[in-house]
Amino acid sequence: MRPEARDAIHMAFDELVMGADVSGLWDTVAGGGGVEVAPFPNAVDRSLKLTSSPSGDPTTLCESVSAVDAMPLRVSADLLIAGGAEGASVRLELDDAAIGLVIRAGGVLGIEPVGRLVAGTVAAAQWYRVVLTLDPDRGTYRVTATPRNGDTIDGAEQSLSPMWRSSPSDPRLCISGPAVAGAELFLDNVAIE
Amino acid sequence: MSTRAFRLAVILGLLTAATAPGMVDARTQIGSPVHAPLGVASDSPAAQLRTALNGTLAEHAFLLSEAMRTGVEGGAGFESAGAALEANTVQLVDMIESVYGAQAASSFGDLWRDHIAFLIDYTRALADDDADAQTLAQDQLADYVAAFSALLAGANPNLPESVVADLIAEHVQQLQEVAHFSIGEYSKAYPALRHTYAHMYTIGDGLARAIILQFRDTLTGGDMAFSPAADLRISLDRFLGEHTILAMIAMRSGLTRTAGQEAAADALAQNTTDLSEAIGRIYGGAARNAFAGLWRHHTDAYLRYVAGVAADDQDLRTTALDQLRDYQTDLTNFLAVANPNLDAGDLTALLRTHTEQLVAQADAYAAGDYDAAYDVAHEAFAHSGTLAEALASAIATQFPEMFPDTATAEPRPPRPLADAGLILVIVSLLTMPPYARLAAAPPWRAPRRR
Repeated sequence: MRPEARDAIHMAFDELVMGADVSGLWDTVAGGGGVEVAPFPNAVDRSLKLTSSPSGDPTTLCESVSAVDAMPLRVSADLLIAGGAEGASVRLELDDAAIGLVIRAGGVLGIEPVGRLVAGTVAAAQWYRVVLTLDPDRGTYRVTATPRNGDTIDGAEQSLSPMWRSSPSDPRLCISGPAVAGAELFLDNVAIE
Repeated sequence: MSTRAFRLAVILGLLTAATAPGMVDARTQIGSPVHAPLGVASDSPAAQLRTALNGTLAEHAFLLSEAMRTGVEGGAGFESAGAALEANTVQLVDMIESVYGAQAASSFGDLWRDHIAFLIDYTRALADDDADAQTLAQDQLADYVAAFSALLAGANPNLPESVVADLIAEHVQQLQEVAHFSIGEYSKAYPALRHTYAHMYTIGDGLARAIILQFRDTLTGGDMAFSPAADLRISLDRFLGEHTILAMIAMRSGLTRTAGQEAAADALAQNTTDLSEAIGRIYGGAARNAFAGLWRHHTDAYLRYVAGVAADDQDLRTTALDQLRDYQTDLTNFLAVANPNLDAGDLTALLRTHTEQLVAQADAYAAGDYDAAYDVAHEAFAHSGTLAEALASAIATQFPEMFPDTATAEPRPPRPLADAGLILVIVSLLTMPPYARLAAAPPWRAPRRR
């Protein structure tokens, strides 16, 4: 399952069997919750389901993207928050010190620590194709979230602060969620290119 | 009416509307209007539940077998089968939610989706000769049977957990036989598919009885739901639905010229035999033989059509389409003579829609538009129910003593021996000549009042 070619990373989960140990798909799996193969959106088109611990400690999956030298860097994933989605969120981070995207069900698409990027409301129980494009050369980033049947929430191009323009030594993509006990985060079609 | 009862009524109405005029035509765009049912069948809320539940479960068996059939090679056809299967699951979950609420429906849906995924995993493991993966899938399926049975038994006191577990375990076991598609053992897979399909009606009837008994104040008409007239409708639903399913699979198999096309054609022929026997039990041996000849003529025409498509032989396609048009007229004439309650014009229109849907799904499949192929397949399966309703209504009207639309006995919770007895009685009724059937009062029903 681990991709051989590191000029780009593509992860789909359709071939994984139910009940398989999926921890080996990622460089690190941390947190108090769990991650498993889910027959969602259907038994053929499968995804990963992330859950939190009873205290709301999220599950975090991280993958090195140091070998992906394409610039601008484009990170995309299909995400859906379900279950007790009130307050549930997803963090999509490119290196701890670089940039973090927060998607909060019922809230707005936002960037931390810059603050909220008021662009549109993300609904629970809805698949979103989330794309984060990072262009250090131009010093800009852009976030879009497109529901399967709806209009794109376009964050418009934003400027990176000077401290983020430096290239991190070992950049990683981390996906973390759902940060609320009882909620579920479904993840599919992850690509870094 | 309570909120849940109202929602159930809406769901049942929508399911009924799925076969209404216009909807089929609009979605399949095959240009043939669907006429209203030719007669009035038992249409109580309880009868609608029985029909809808059986139909949805039967389609589940078809779609799951399609996912298993296409799953080993994967690709767009497999993905479309998965999406169609999910749509069927949503339909079933909506029905459960309308009766038991959102939380129960969510639990039901999770377990239902799991068992589909486990069976797909089992199919792949069989194809890969991966013993560990087979064991994992089997263990998970065993857990599913226990959890699912407990869920149903907990929701409905008329469903004994052990009985439900036996029924669901049998379903799983049959589908594991269907998985032999993946290793090319079609002589095992197709009979298993037929058993699985038929078994869904046993499960559907058991669930329907229990639910109707539990909600008898809102799901009224339980006596009509399990009357001989309703049994006739369900039997024809089953035979015609199976015909539609097997014809579609055989046509798809013929299009791709896979190794299983002969076994698919055999299964279709066996359904023809069963359907003809059922007709013969009502109208006699000569009618059985005449019907069988007409019916085989049209199933052969389907296979001839896809052979023409696969070989890019326009003459063969045209010949097959001409034969299908002739069949519409010939079968109409046959049935309209046998039963004066059938309007020839309406019946021809129903048959035309049926044949055009089967051709349309094959065309879509051949073009690689698998989503469209499954959409049309869904409509074709629903339309087989419309045809069954029309025929059952006309036959019940023609033979009211044989097929009264009421029964005084309450629907009962499923019990294996009682259900087996019921099936035997229905089979024996259908196997008797009409005069003998009139004399044999079904043992579970009080004498009919005049």
